[in-house]
This record gives sequence, C-alpha cells and structure tokens, in this order.
Amino acid sequence: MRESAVIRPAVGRILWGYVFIYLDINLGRLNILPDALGYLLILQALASLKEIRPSAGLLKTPGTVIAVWEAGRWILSLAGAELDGPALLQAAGYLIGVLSLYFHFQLLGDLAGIAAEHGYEQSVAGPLRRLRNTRTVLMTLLLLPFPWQESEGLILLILGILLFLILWTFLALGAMRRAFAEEDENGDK
Amino acid sequence: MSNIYEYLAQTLSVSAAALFLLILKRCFADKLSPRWQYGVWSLLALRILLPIDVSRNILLPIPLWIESFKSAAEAGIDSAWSGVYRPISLRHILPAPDGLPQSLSDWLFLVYAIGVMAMLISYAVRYGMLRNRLRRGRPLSPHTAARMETLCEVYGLKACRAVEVRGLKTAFVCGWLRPVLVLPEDTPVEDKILLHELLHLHYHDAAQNLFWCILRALHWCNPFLHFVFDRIGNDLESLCDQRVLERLDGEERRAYGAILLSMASEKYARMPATSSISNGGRNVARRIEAIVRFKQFPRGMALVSVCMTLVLAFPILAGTQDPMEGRDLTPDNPAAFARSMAMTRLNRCTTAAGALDTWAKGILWENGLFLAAASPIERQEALEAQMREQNNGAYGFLIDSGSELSMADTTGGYWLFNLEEHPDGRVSALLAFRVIRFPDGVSPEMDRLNAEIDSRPLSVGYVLFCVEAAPTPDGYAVTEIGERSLHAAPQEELSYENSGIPMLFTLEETGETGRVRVDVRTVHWVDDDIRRANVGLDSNVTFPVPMVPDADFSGHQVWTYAKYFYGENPDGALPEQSAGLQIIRLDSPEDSVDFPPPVEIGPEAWGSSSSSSGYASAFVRVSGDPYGCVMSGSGSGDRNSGSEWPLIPHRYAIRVFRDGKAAEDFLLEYKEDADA
Repeated sequence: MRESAVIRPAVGRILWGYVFIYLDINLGRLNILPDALGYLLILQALASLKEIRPSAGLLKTPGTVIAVWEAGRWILSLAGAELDGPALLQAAGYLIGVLSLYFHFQLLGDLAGIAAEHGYEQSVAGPLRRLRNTRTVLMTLLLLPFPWQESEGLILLILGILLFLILWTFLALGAMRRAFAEEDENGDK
Repeated sequence: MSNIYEYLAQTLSVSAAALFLLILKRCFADKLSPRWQYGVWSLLALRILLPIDVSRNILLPIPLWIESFKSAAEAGIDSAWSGVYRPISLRHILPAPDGLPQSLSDWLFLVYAIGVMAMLISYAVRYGMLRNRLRRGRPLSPHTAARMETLCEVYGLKACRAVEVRGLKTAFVCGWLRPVLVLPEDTPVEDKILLHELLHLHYHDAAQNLFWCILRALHWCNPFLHFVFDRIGNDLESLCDQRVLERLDGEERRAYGAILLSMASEKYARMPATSSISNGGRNVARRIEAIVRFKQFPRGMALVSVCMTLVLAFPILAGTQDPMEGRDLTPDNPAAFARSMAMTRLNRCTTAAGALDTWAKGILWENGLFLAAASPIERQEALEAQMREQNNGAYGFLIDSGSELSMADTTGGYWLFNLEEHPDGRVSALLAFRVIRFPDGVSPEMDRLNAEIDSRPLSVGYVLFCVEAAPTPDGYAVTEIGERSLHAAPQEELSYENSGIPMLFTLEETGETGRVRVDVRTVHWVDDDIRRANVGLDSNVTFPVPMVPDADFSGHQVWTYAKYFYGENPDGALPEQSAGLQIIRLDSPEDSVDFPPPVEIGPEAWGSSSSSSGYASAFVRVSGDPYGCVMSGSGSGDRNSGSEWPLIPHRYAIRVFRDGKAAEDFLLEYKEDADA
C-alpha cells in the first residue's frame, strides 16, 4: 500500500483530533467536543503512522495518559466539578502539562518529518515545524503561573494569539492532507 | 536549620521533588535525550539548596505535616532547639544547633549534624588517600601517551596529567582543580575508554560529582535520597556515553557497548570528585540498553526540553498549592484543630493589611484560630489554652472580644480609622466594630449608651479598638495598644465630624480675623471584602470567610473638616451677616496656592460646595452668637491605593470671608507630630 494512502487519512484524523482539542461547544455543562475524543482520534492516526515513522509510536503512552486525564475532566465537568484541589492532583496536572508539551511537539515534528521525506519541505514541513515551535513556546508561557488574567490587554493579546494558532494548525494540517491527497491521486493515475 | 523537624521538612520536601522527577523521567526514558535526563536534575539541586521557607509546599503540604507532628511530639517535653509553639522556619540549609541539647529531638538533630560533618570528613580523607596513592603512579607509557594525544587532537579535547597505577581495574578521572587521569597499569585501556574519560574531564564531571557528594552528605540519613543520588551519578555516566557515541559511528558504537558489557560484573565504590566509566553491574546493563536505543536526537528537541524544564521549575522550586488549606479555619475535631493551629504558625500574615484583616475577623467571628494567625507567636499557647477551655464543639471558638461586642453586628464588618504607618514598619489604627446594642447591666457606661441608642432612631453602638500591626521575624502580628472606647450614634451620622471617632490629626492657626482649624480623619479598607456599599459606618460589608494573610489596602478615604471661628479675632468683632471659608489641599511643596479670584461673594451667600478646580467652600449666616464656626462640606472622595494623591496633603490653604469679602488667608502645614 502506498504510504500516501496511509498518511492522508491519518492526517485527516489528526486534524479532526485538533478540532476536538481546540474547540469547545458547551450545552450547559456538556461539552460536545470533548478533548479526550480528540486525543483518541490522534492516537488512532498514530497507530497507522507508526509503520512509516517509528518514533510516532513513542507518543502512544503519553497520548493515552492525556486522553484518560481529559476524560476524567470531562466527566467531572458534567457534575460541575474540577480536577483540582488536593496537592497530588495539582502535581498530576503539572505532569500532564509537561506530557502535553512533549506530545504535541513530537507529533507535529513527526508530521513535519514525514512531509519532508516525501518532498514537501517548503510547503508543509517548514510551516509545521514553525507551528510546532510557536505552539510550544506559547503553551509554555501559559503553563507558567504568571498572573496573565490581571491585565485585560494581555488577555486579549493571548486570546488573539491562540486564535491565530488554532487557525494556523488547521491550515497547516489541511495543507498536508491536500498534498498527500494529490500524491495519492497522482499515484492512482 | 536548627532542629530535627526543620531537617525533616527539608529532606521530605526534597524527596517529594525527587520522586516527581523520577516519575517524569520514567515517562520520558526513551523519548528525551540523556542530556535532558541528567540536566533535569539541576532542578533538584536548586531545590536542595533552597530552604523550604522560600516555597512552603513542594507538591505536598509537608511543612504542615511536620509542624503538626512536632506539636504532638514536643508536647510535654522541654527542648532547647524546638517547641510546640515555635514554628519550623528554615532560613538556610546547613545544620546549626545553638546551645546544648536537652531532649531526644535535640539529640537526634545533633546526631544528624555530626553525621553531616563525619560524611564530609570521610570524603576528604578518602580523597586524600586516593591522591596519595596516585602520587605513586607511573607516568603513562609513551605508546599510551601518544594514543591519548591523538585522541585529544581528533576530538578537540584537552588532556591533563595522567598516571598508570597498579592494582586498579578501571580508568577514572580524579580531582577537579588539578585533575589526574588514572589508568590501570596492568590492563590495556581501549581508545574508547580513554575518550570516555577525556569527555568526563572536558565537561568537569568530577566537579559535578563532588557537588552531588556534598548534597548527599546533607541528606545522609535519607535512604531514598541516597538512591536518587546514585541515579544522578548513573545519568551522568549515561550522558557521557551519549557524548562518546555521538563521536563514534557504526561498528565503533557496538564495540563501545561490548566494552561496557565486559565491565558489567564489576563492583563500584563511589568516590567524591571522581568519575569512572564503570559504575556497577546493574547500572552498566542499563547503559547498554540506552546504547542500543541510541539515536541522534534531533536538534529541535532542545526547545521542548528547555520548555518542559521551565514548566517543571515552578512546582519544584516555587511550590504548588496555596499553603492555606482550608483557610476558613473551622475545625470540628481535635486532630483538625491541632492541624489548624499548626497552619496558623506556618502561615503568618505577610502584610499589615492582612494581619489587621485577619485579627478583625477573629474578633468579629469569635474565631481564635484567626486571632492566633494574626497575633504574636508568643500568644499562641495562651490562645490555644483558651480555645480548649471554651470549646463547645467548635474547636476554634474563642470569645476574645469582650462583652462589649457580645451583640456585634457581623454584617457590619469592621473599619480601619486613622491608619498610620510608622518609620519602623509598625502600622497603627483604630479598629471599629458596629454593635446592635450593648449588653444590659454590665456597666453604667453601656447602660447610658443603650439609652441613647433606644432614644434616637436608627442608632447603633460602636466599639473602637486601638491596635497596632508590627513586623516580626514571623510576619506581621497585631496587638491592642490602648483602651477600647464605646460610642453610640445614629448610623447615618457616624461619618460626621462629631461622631465621636477621634481625628487623625488637627491643625490650627489664629490670625487677625479669627481662628481656623482643620481636622482630618481617614478610613482604609482592605482588598478582600466582597462588597462594600460605601465606607461609612452605615454600610454593610461582606467578607469572604477564608483568611487572607497577604491582603493589601485597596483604598482609603480622607475626611477633612475645616472650621473658621470668626468670633475669635483680637477685637472680638463679629461679621454682620455671613462668614465663610474656602479650603484648598496642597499635596506637594511645589503646589501653589490658587484661590479663585477674590470676587465678592455677597453678604447673603451661604451654603457649601466643592469645586472641580480643587477647593471646597462653605458659608454660614451669622446668628448673633459671640463666635461661630463654618465647616467644610467636602469630606472626601474615594481614592484607590496607588493613586498619585498622597494620603495626607503637605499643606492646607484656607481663605476666610466676612460678610462676603475675602478677609484673610491661612496656610496650615502638616507636620508628623500634629496629633489630634
């Protein structure tokens, strides 16, 4: 089976995974786009990408841990509670934050690596790496316990950057999916 | 570090941080490079060097647990270096017992301190003996020396003095300032082993080893940390392996693994200020696994490694949760009460506002734990005894407020009048509480005030406490410094000039046309109130229940009352129809007096006003009395803390009027000693 036939649907799943992770649509307490589902979609995609890029397999464990954590948060949110409070939970929260930084960094890095190997360095791999680095720096800043919320201007700036990041992610993954779709079609011809 | 409990708090906090890092490293064992695996231990090093006072809770409330344990352990014994009511307070990490030990806990700490010294001395002695032995070593054979020189040239490394010593099984580097590369005389040494040791030399690993040995000595009686330091040493060796592998390729890497395999059965005795390729059989096996997994980690991984370390730095170095667990301090059983008392010792008020707020809440809500948190540490024992005595199921219950406040209006909150900040950091104020009425039959004064309350509609009583928040080594603590005074007045008149609440200061001057006087009263509020309608004593204030030990003053009001005694001029002549004044507040020495043009007001004019151009005025009709006064109707405006307006102005400029004409100007200057 051609690699592009595996990569294209996998990237599609990852794209949808990010939709679930980045977007929330709340009906009362119910978020109908739970983050946990997003991670499960990504893990499914990684299972098929592992054949092409072995390092993608390293993400299975951190991805699973994050998915379980997010599932727990989602269930608690239905009851109006939060996964917070006791010290151990706070420690777990930091662990998840660090795992998440690594997970998304490696994921986008692997996707960039796959794109580069197939000759899409300029159009796909480069932008993905830039996205990866920008996302990592921004998420690190947000994880640090600075009092961001005390400045309205800063809140607006961060919101703006986050929106830009979300859009950039969708565009970059969309571009990768299109590139491999074309490769797949050209291969058929 | 002055007692065993401080050591326990420090070593357990370090252990918690180490455990967290071990779990994290386990998650990333095959994902992040040996550089990160070793580098992340720098957070632990910083954690060890930082006393727990810098960041109380490292992932777990360990200081609170230890403080609670100490309270139970020290009850009934007389220790020289600790006590039930002496909170653990670690300002530095070195053991420093002060005086002779008395109790078991004192002796345990002394044993610990001696152990630290013994371990450091043992390191020094063993190192000295090793250096002595190395002095008897032979210089390298020409062949070995040439190989070493070639390796240094090929890999861009610097060599150092090298010797061959009989009876050694493995090569190592000894020393930091004057390092020596030591090779076994009886066994030929492979180039890769030489490279490994040269890389140890290049990256000053012997110095790092010495550093970790010193930290190990500080925690010599913590077996878990011994395990952690062993892991750190192994990670340092793995990092060196990584550096070797990065410089070799293909078959040479496999050969390097085979060399390590040959050392797998060897024992290893850790020696300070040395680094050795062989670190014990089990560790070598782990290193071989890492070599099998070896890959050139992509350059971009450095970014995420640094970011992850930054995120980890905060919980490990700065601590996690808010130290005031259960800040409402309302325990319902003896164990919770003991824990709450421990909390009040550990989490002292760090600001004067926080101390005054906490103390006031303690009085208002009859909560002895709040009082304990905001009172001097010396009062802890007495407060605890009172709480135990008065316990009626609510373990923090304490009537410290006195019978005057038995009918306190808790919805009324409290007010801080006439706050003064002194040069030595003390903050004094009048703390006012509103009462619905006073208890009957307790004293003639209270009965009289009750009669006043009953006779005038919407009247209330209020009690003034004279208090002071002083900085102490344990944070700010509040004490009463004067007599309490009782008053009664209609609620709406409580902010009036004659309400009975003393003034902060008074300025007076007599001129040709009479006497002028300025009285000033201030009221501060703290930033933890949820809702405050206005600042007068007729408002209701809601406070959140938890303690806020680091609260700040969020605003204040200044009430200014200006009077003109127009009958007190030298000739005693009164104005015929009206008298008045204009008052301007001058906030700095550079401010100029800028009265409006002296137009004639007219003899019929009266009333008061505040002008946006910064002055206030008031006029009265003269009633024929031999003297009278005119009061400014300005009061104040709300000002937030941080406003550029100073609380107390530098000067007041007053212009007085008689029968509509400007009569005289006064300039009253505020001095520090201008008391009310």
